[in-house]
Amino acid sequence: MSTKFLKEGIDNVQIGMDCHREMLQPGGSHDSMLIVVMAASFYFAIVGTNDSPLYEAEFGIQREENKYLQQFVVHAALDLVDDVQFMTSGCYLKAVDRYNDWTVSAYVTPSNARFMLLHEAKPEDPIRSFFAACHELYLRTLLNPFYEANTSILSQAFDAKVHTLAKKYLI
Amino acid sequence: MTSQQQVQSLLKLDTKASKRSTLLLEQPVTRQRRDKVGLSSFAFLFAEMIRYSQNRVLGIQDLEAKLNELGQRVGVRVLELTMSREKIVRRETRVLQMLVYINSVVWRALFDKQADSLERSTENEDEYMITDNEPAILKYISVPREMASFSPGAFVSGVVEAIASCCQCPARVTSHVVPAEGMPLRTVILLKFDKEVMEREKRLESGK
Repeated sequence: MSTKFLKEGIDNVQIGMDCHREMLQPGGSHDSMLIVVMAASFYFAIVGTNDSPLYEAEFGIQREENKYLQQFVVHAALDLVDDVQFMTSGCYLKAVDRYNDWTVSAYVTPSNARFMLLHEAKPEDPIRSFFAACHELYLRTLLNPFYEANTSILSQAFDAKVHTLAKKYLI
Repeated sequence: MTSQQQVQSLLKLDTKASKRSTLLLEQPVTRQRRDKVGLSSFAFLFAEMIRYSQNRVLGIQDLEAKLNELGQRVGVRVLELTMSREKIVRRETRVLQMLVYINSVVWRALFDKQADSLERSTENEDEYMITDNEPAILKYISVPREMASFSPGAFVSGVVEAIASCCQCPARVTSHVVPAEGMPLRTVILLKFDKEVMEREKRLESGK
């Protein structure tokens, strides 16, 4: 019985998603139960005023074959950001694009640096908070006189902080 | 020093630097009560900036371009910083809103007062002027007679240019000293917006 469930479980997992399998045996009248826990994957990128990439990071579980696809999807979503950003004066643009199971959310800072986050289905609020916290980090990086605007952000401290924020709000 | 020691001292330096940069990312960015700089110390710095630039250029135009470039570094930062201190963080997407923002908020952050006027040119509708009757940064600068066409306000026009291009309204920004009675330093910052900005502005206007 359990192996049959297991097999079905694996078949049901869609391509592009990672899964952890966990067997629970609560006993009693239930047979064994299969729980498929989706481990979400995220791709985060900051794009500068002159369309150059400043920073990128991946959170969660990544599949090697999706690496370039994610970059490609985010890159394509930049065109949609260009359309949407004149419709509103808010920074957070919500979901701007979808690609199969992935959603691309965007956030534009007042100086037009674009934060792009590729994620799977997720409530809006944590993403908004993640963007706002990243914006603050970006602001502090920008205020560093040794950082030239629109150049890649190489600071390890920045990288570590972004990963902590991702753990706090996303994963 | 052996190479191993060298590596180790470098590593130590590296961890020190990364500790500092972590601290940097935790600095408060809210407005401090005393975040003003003495005018005399700024004038000293600004004079040195002009001298530095002057030693590296051939003509007055280049000198202004160089000061403009220095101003742009300030512009991007001042826009992000003042906006983050606003009640609602927003983006300025319209030309007029952006100009009002520069005129009031940015000027107050930089010079502790509003700019004296914001006007639209009567001849060309893509030209706007921001006037400052007494620009603080020019207070201790006297331009020699042989450089009469030089306007040290190029630094401020750089600040404005960077903000304009960050708000997706690229413009050619120049500064001119236009003395008026009792105001010998009166400076006009002239913004000439690119064609596509005005076209977009019309489109957005009609869309609403």
